[in-house]
Amino acid sequence: MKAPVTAIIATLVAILSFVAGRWGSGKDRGSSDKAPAGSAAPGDETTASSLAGSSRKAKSKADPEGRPANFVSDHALTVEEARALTSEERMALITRGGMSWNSGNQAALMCGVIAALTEDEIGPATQILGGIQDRGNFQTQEVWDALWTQWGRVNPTKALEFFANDDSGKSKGDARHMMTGWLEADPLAAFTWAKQPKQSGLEASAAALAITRNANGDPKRMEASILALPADEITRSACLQDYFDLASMAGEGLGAAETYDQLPSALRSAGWPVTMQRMIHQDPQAAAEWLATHSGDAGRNYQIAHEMVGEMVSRNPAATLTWAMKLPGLYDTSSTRQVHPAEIAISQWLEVDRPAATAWLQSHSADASWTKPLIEGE
Amino acid sequence: MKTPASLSLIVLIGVAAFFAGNRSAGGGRDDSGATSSSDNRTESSRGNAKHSSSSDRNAARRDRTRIVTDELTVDDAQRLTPEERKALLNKAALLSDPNKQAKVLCGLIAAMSKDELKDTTQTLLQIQSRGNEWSQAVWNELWTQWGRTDPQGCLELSANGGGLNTGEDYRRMMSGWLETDAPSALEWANRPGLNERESVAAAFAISSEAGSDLGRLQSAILAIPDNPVAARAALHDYFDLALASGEDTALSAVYAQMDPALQQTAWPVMVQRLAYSDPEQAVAWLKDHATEPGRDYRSLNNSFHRMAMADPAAMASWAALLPVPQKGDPDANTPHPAVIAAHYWMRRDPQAASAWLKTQPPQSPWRAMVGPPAGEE
Repeated sequence: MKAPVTAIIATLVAILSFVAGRWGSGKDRGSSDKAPAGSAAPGDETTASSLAGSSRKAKSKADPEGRPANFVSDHALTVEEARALTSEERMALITRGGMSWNSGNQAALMCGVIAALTEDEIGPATQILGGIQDRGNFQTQEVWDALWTQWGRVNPTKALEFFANDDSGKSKGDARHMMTGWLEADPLAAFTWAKQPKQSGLEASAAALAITRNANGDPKRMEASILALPADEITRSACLQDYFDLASMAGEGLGAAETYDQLPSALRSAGWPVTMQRMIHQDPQAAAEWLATHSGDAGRNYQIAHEMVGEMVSRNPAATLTWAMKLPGLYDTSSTRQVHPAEIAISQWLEVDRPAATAWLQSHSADASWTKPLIEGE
Repeated sequence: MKTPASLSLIVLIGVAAFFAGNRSAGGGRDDSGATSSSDNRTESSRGNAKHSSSSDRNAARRDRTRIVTDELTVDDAQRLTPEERKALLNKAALLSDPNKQAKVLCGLIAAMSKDELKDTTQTLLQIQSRGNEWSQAVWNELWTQWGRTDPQGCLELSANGGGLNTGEDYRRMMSGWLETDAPSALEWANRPGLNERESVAAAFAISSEAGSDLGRLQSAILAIPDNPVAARAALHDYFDLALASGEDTALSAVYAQMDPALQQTAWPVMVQRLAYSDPEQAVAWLKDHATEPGRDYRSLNNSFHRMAMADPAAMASWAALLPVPQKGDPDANTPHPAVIAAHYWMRRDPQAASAWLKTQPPQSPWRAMVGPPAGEE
């Protein structure tokens, strides 16, 4: 072979091999060509990849090899197959799937179809499934999750009407699934909406998801985002729930009290009830101690502790009352006065054992004027 | 240049160029900056197998417990020790985001042994009782894993009130049991004396065993030994499958094509399902089939109340024509549909209801149970 011919062939082979190498690498990498973690801009800046990123990942299945909890998987449609149907066919499948009794069958028959519903179909499909549920056949949560996610993808503006007030019968999970779909379809619009003041806890919870996604797992960035929100306690509080989630799972993981201690002072007030609530979930005794040492803090919210106080009274009424009466605010007469834990304690004790409660008050409370309305109200 | 030498050179250049291309696209090992934290953890776990020094092992263990995660797979969780899983469970048990709960806890639970499950169940129930609600996916995974690892233990726990609660819980447990020991699961499912919720699990096992073959499922239901609750639950599966697989989507067609020996058990299932989709159609079918031997008003009790609440007068007019259960019938002690309608009507419009009652035969049970019409006391 002559040298020029060899050189030309070698060059061609080199180019083709280089291209083949790149192509092969791209296939292997699959979805890993997203922005690397931590590369997004800090604070409040939005990047589409950070917002939509995790929602594009395949959903984790704990039991991918397991036996499906349904008998109709042979008849389940993929999203692509469902898209190839007519609108009437899709709606017929929703009606049929909604009538399935076994929840595994419902999910198998409907999730693919729901993910193919268009903007015009999603409302009627919701009515069909709601109607069937109202008549007694409950739809499994997986189906509702798929439905709200699709609402977010195809018509988030209309979907928001469902979450405008907290008495709509919808859950925070529904609102957050809607946001998951919205973030997939239009992350920038979703994030812009998330930063505006909210009217309901449901809206706030959806907004918190967008803000959390944008923080990309970085608590500092999350903090900055929350601080950048307009003065909107409801969204701030919802975001802090996510912030505490993040802090508890990142690194060694921070407990609620530690997270509270590390909050910037501007977030402490909104963080107080979140901390109290999480401590009650984890360890009511530690929560009672924390309440005693943080009852002078700005965000104090006794209402969150009412149930816990009730539990304490049922175990040891005298000790609970002694503890509660030391908490500040018992003699507060301002208009913002909260129902005091001591009032919860004595009310419950009076209800269960009036003579013992009255005797205790007479012997232990120098000034029991605060109990007068409670005793006379009986 | 000689031809063999030229060819060798070309091959060498080709191979080198392929690897250069692969590397430039990030396919090599030096792209750690683009991997997620969980990928790093996996790499370190793999590396741990290659290096046996205790400091490496300790470092790997620290790395495993310092999971920065939004998601945990079963494989990830299986690489943890039981203590590490417990520590992670205690952290994840406080998560407020239901989706994050599911993403972390489902993988964790699916890797647990039966001993770990006892503690986990207690932890989840306790924290729920203190106010943190769990995503349904978490419960589903918990009961499935119980079924995989210790179904008998789970049934005992449930009998004492600390485990399975709803029919769906029982089904999930059974789905796990079938995965790991189908013969035992089926033997249990065919046992007599199962309670109502256990019967739902039994039905799941029986329907599951029949696969998606309608004929086999029908035979399996016919062979269920003296457990009408399990048979009814399995018949729901039969309807699900028939509607999913058949060309004719009408419930009445499914019922008509059913083995006559099954129709009696299927009667209440049929009318209940019709009521889910179209109450008017359910009423029409009920009127046409009210004299069949499977008639059982109990299965429609909720639907009757809903219909009576919506329009008691309209309901009373057709309900009064339905047969009255006789002594010995399964629904002999259930209020007749006309009684339900009359109760609601009396509350809403006593005058009109009384006027209607006056037109009813005195021996009709709804008239007696509602009491004498106004003005006749």
